[in-house]
Amino acid sequence: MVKQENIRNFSIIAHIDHGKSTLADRLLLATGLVSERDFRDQFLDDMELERERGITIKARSVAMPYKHTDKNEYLLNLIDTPGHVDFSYEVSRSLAACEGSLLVVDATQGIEAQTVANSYLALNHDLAIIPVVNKIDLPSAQPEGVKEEIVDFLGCHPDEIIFVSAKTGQGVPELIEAIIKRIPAPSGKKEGPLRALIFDSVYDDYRGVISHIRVVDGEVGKGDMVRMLQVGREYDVTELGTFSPKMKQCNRLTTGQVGYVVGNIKELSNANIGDTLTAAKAQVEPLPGYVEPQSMVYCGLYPSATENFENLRKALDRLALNDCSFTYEPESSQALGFGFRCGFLGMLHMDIIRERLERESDIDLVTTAPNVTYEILKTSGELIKVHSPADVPDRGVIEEFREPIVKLQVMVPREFIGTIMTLAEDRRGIYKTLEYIGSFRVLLSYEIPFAEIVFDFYDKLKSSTRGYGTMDYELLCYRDSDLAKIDILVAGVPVDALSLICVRDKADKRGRAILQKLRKEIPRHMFQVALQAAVGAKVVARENIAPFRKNVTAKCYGGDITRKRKLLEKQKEGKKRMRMVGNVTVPQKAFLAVLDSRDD
Amino acid sequence: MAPASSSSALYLHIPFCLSRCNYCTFTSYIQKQADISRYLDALTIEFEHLVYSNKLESIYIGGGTPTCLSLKEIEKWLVLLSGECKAPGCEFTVEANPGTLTMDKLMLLRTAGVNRLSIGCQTFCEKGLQILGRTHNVRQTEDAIAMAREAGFDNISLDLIFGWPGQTPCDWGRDMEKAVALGVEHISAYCLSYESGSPLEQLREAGKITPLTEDEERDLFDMTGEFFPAAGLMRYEISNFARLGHECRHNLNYWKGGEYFGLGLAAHSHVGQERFANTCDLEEYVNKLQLEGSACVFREKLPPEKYLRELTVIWLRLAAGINLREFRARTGAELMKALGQEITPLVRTGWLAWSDNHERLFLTEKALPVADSVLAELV
Repeated sequence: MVKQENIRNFSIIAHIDHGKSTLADRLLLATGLVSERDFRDQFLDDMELERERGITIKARSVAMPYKHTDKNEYLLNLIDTPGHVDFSYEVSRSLAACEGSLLVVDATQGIEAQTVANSYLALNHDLAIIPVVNKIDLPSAQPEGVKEEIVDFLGCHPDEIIFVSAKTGQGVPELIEAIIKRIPAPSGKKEGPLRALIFDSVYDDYRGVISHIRVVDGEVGKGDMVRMLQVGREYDVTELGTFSPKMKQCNRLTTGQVGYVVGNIKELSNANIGDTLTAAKAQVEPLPGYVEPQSMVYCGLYPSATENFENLRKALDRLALNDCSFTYEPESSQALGFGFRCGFLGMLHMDIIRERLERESDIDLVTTAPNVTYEILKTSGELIKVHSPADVPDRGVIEEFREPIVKLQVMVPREFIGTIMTLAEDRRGIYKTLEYIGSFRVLLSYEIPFAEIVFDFYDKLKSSTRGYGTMDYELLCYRDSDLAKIDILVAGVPVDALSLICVRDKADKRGRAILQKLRKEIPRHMFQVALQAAVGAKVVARENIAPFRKNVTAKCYGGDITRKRKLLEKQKEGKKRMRMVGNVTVPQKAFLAVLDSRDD
Repeated sequence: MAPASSSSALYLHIPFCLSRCNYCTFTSYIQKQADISRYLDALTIEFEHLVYSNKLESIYIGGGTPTCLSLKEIEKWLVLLSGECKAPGCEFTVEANPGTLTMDKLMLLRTAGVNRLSIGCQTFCEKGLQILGRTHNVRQTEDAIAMAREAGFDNISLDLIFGWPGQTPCDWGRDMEKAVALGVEHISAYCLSYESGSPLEQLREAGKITPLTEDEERDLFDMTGEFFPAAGLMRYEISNFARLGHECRHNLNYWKGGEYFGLGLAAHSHVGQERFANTCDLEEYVNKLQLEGSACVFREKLPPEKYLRELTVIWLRLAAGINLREFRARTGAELMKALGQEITPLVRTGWLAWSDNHERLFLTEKALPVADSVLAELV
């Protein structure tokens, strides 16, 4: 058993694509845990989607025993964190399980918005930070410039920075040395009652929930009776172990150690990330920082073929076993029939869930435009959360209509300051601070409504800064705004699935943009189709789809009736895949018009 | 292949042309002596295998360009249809292109019993002929009609195409006037369609020609519906106009879901609620007939409901619409029982209408230009 003072728990934080996972892989090789022969790229990203997208979605950890030249046996526990802002709560819990962090910066890119955001997170957790400049083997690497930025940003000594190439292994021994020398050993009380932080939970078909834990105080052993402090449920520990990197059973996990426990837990929601694991009878304070999983973005998911509703439900049930951060409840729409209102951590999370649903269960889905969660204070004093425009009550009973506000940080080369200011102000951003990082780049901070950035701000940022801009955000608060619900009417019939919430004085502009988009998506009919956008009883925009003027085929070649029939059947087939709104057929794509119309 | 039946209509396909027209994707080959003779041999085999019990009420020789063959070749297929296969008064149509007709050929056709000519004129505008890729000129069309009259043909139909790139309402008005002035008994007026794979479609895709807009096409369509009836040629089908009593019997049979035999390359048959089609490949056609006595490569028997739907959408193209009694007699089914659910809303919205005390259902005037949209609801 490794002594507590020889344990090092650390994470790697970096901007996306700065080589976090590659460096983790390199450490596995350098400590000899994985042999060259078994090695494959991004060893720790094992979900198919993670590999494809080149991002880490779930937190991972791995215990690397390391024999030092000082004859001591060390245990280096690496906790790999998700690389996307959607999962920042998971990141914060992973950081809470560590004493130190490697701050990885790409030698060709420099510090980015996420580097900054994650560094602050690490600093808030009082972690020892080891700045690492990666990719120094690349010809376009500018280690000196990046070094300057880091010194400037962290206020550290230039000698503290370690230069590596995760790809070639250059600098990695020095890095390991730094981990051992600079990251403090865990400080928990060995004798104290058990307290362990759950920093991730995954579902396994055979064993139920597997919780990834960091033992803070005391120790836990096989057969122990343990309790989840926040949810208040008790379980027998049936199995525990460490990651090396595959799960390896052991009998005890002691203070400072990182590993997993299995306890016949059937639902992920009974082992929430951030919860404290303790002994069944113990009276202890919960570890700080626990937050209930919170969905930030909602959308409606409907099966294309209405008969697939039950299949969709089963698929969602199955997916929820693995991911308790998304929520779903049945809803129905006049236009789309029966489906589910689903909540996600963010847009990436939503994309992932949607993709997994389609991939793993082969159900064709119609997605409605996503919206953020709103809060409405009614005149009666009741405060409700609104996940769907359909749930917005009458204007008369609304005292305050609140929307989520985030702190947005954007990192850009300084020549783009003006561009970003225009972009952010267009979207109701309130300028907060401007900070130079090095002499060429700036970090701009805004307070901005989440709804204004969640869907397409990132793409906009990338395209208006030639790809140089990076961003990060965190939820600040809910704030009263002058919001209104826009209803869209097709041929006089309100289409619930197209309703949206937006700022009142932009309602006519948004309404018009949506109608123009719909006009392109909805096919012509035999009659004129009127499209209207309305706020309450007031129509704010109007468009018409002209009817067919001519649609008739002429010749019947030598009695080839079959061909003629097939032509008509094809027209009819096309309509079958559409939804009926009154007597107008609306293609499924049109239900995303709300989303696509933002910049038209 | 086709079983014995009560069919009394025959279509015969001659898949050869002098050159291919720009709008055409129909099965035809540029004529070659050797091909023609092998083809006619095969056609003879197919004809000999044909089993029919009734005498023929209508015969239609289409193409291709049946009249582009030599006298001797024409005689070869005419001989098949001489004599007793025809009922008295049988409508016997041959498609002809101006520029391929000579007095000799016309006399030959007359003597063999051909009593109706369908002349592919398409337009009287030289610019239009060029765009459509027609090899004849306006003069030749006029000559062909005059010659046919001289040869004694008193039932002549003209094929016209409107809506070609650059055509103005004025151009189309002149075409229609000219057609009426020539005194023909029947006119088929088709709107140009850009068939996939046709040279015109490729030109359009390449941006070399600009098709008329839908509104422009609609204007020409509306002109057509006003002009011909005013000149005594009544619209009896969406694209077909005739003087009273000169409606094409053969085509009426198609629209009313009647039975017919189709002989020749790519020809279609409809016998006993089953549809057959021959191969479109000349080599395969010749080989199959020599080996098997049949060139059929496609057959479908629609399930009853689909069959009723098909019949309904085809039949509704006739101006007179569907006579319920006739429909019942043909199918044994009640139209409203089968399709009432779709028909009723279309009547309510004015796309279909009833007459003759709810015995006849037809497409309304406003439905004609968008007939496909309306019919797609029923198919």
